Amino acid sequence: MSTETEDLELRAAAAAELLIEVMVNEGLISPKKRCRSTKAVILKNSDGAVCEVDMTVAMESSRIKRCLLAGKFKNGVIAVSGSDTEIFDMAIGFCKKCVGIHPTISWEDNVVRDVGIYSDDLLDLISAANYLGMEGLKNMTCRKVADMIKGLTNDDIRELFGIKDDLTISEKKMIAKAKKAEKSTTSPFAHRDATLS
Amino acid sequence: MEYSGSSYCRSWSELPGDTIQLISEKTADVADFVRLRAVCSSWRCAAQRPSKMPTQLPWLMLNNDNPRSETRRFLCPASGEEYTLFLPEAVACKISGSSHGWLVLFRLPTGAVSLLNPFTRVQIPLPSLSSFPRKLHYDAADSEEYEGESEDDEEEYERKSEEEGNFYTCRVSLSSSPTMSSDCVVMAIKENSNVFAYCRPGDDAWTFVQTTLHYNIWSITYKDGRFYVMDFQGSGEVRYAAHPFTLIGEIQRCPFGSIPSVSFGLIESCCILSSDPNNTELVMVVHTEKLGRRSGFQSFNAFLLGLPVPDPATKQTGMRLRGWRENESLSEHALFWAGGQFLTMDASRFAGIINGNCVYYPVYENARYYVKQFKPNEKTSCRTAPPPPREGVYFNQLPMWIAPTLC
Repeated sequence: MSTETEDLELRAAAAAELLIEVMVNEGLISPKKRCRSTKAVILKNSDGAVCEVDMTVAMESSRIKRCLLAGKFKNGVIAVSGSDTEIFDMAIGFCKKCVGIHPTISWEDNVVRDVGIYSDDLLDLISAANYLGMEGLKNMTCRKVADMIKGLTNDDIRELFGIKDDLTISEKKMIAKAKKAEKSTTSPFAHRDATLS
Repeated sequence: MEYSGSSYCRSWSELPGDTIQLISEKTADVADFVRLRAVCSSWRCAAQRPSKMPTQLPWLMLNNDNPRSETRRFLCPASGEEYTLFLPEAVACKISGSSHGWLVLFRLPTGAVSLLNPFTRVQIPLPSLSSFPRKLHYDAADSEEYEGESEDDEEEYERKSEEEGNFYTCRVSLSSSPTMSSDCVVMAIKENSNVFAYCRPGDDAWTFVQTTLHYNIWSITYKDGRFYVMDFQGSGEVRYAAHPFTLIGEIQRCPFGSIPSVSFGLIESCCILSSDPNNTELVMVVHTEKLGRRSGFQSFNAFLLGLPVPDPATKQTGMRLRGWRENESLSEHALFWAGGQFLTMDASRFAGIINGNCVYYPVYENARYYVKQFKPNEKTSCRTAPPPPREGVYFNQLPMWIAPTLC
């Protein structure tokens, strides 16, 4: 059990982490030379599940970062509410992966595979990313959604996500309708030569 | 201490607005964005127009048979899908040009002109062109100006109906997007005239500029505060884009004659394109088409002229632009040609779908449109294809390319 002094130390360590982050961003410290803090933070879920993570990992979440800096925790335990354990683990798993990395699209694809982000959990994961304030996770999940709806018709999108169609008739009239050309074989850009055979 | 009040959503339609906006920004395709907005009302409200969008492959606006129609059909060649867009703003209008993702609409009988983005339906009014003279031609040989003034009632009637028809022979182009650029100039040329008109969105009236070209203006472009105007014999001039429109210089006559089978009756259109701002060159692309009963040929020839970097400090006059280079490759630029207008695109962004140094041109056969690829500076023979259906001369609207933009 941590005491009040140890809580204060934790808060100071969080402030130091923030300072180091600022200095790295300003180019005053090389990211490679940065030492990771070994202070541990305990995150407690509303289900009661606990998870111990390094401070630098936890600081990936802007909400947790604010909690640490403001001292809104007791005995080294920060409470995060609302998500079930699986999603929570996924979010933390993502945090661990993205410490100190600048995400590229191929990196994101790998994480999607490793951390196991699938469409069932996607909604929960987006919510978790929103709640915990994780920009990287938010970007990644939104990109996954955008990829999923690529090329789908409106009905397909509604079916996929279970959304009810609540547009008024006048609104519907104003929307572009897409219908496939009747005998679309290949794309007209399929390099037909100007000389007809 | 615990936190209360989570922002967890129970369903996809309850996603917070900024999340939906983020998803919409990740959709790289205009069609996907438009469909995203049509899923449900909360998504519709949240997905606003993005502030920037990746460049899209151009769509082809198909010819329109019914001027009363509230919709227009578009073909997205990349996917092969045909879309019908609801455009009540275009009813009883002639679409006389397409530039930087905006359509130029003319409406009878007022002669009202406006710019319309068919994907966002934002409409920008422009001053009416009713004051465009019927015929204004200045000939150095005999300094006689025709203004089409009439004295008789009958002549008046003829003049009026010709004037109405005049709007439909105007070609209007833009120098850049009116919403994305601070220096957007709209230029209008009319057949059989060596006067052109220009305005900027927000102006009260068009400004007419008289050129000293001997032949009718065929194409015009604007760059860095200067107009580059070409006539259909290939000569051109450069003028300042501000009163009193001083003549800066002349453009050497473009050597069309070097194209083996060109005689001027055959040139269908030629346009100037501005290359990218770092590489200041005028590109003139000449399209010649000869269609016989069974066969014919088409060719697109590119001529390039280097432009000197303009020095804003000194007022230049007496400049002579020389040195047209023929049969040049367009390197990574792809050209889309339809309806007498060209559109350029950087083909490297769409590697695998379109190629650089190619001209893409719609052809109507077997009751549908195909996009054919031509290499510039090569003559290609082709079988004559039937023309697309046409409806009267005033509303004759040929297919044209438009680069979709949501900004």
